[in-house]
Amino acid sequence: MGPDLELVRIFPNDQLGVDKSGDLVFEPGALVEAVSLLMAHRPGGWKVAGLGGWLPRPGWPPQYEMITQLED
Amino acid sequence: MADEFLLPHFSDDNPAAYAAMAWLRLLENNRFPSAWAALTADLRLLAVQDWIVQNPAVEDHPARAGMDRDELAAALSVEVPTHPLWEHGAAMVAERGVRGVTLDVLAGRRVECRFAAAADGPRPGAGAHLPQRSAGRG
Repeated sequence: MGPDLELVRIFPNDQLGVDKSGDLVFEPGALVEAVSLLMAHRPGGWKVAGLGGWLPRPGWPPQYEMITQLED
Repeated sequence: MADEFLLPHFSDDNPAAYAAMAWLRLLENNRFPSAWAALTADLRLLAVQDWIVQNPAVEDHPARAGMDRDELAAALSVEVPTHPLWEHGAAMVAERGVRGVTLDVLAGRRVECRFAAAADGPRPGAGAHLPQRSAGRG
C-alpha cells in the first residue's frame, strides 16, 4: 500500500469456499464481508493506521481518505 | 510524538497479518486501552475529533478547563488518556466505534487473513494459525 503500510483483510471463514483439498479459497469474483486493517510499520513493531481501508486525516471536521479498493 | 506502545513483530512471515490478529485479540479480550494505544496518533486524534464534533456539549463541559478544542483533542488522543472527559464519554464512544467496524463485523466467526502487499502471501488456511501470546501491555 505504501512505505511501511500494509493492508490486511480478515475474512470470516464461513464467507470462503473450500477447494478439493479442503483448503479455504477466495472464489474469483466473490464478494465477502471482511474487516480491513491498515497496519503501519514502526521501528520495533506495528501500529493500526486505519480501520476499513481508509487513512485518517485529522482536522475540523476530521476526514477519511479511502486508499484501498475492493480488489486490493 | 514517539510511539511508546507497539504491536510486537511476531514473525518475519507476514508480520503485518500477525500484528493485525494480535490487535483484534486485544479487542476480543476486552483490552481496549491496549488496543487504543496501538492505534497511530492520527487515528486516535481523528476518533477524538469526531467525538468532539458529534458532541458539541463537550465544548461547554467544565472539565474542558479552558482548553481550546485542539488542546482538548490532543489531551484525549494520547496513548493513555488521563483527561476526565476520556472516562466521561470519549472512551466509550471510541471503543464502540472501533468494535463496530471490526469485531461486530466478524461476530465471533473464525477468520481468514490475506496479506495484500506480499507477493507470496499465506495460502488459504494459514490465517487460522494465530499468535498464541498476548500483545503488549494491558
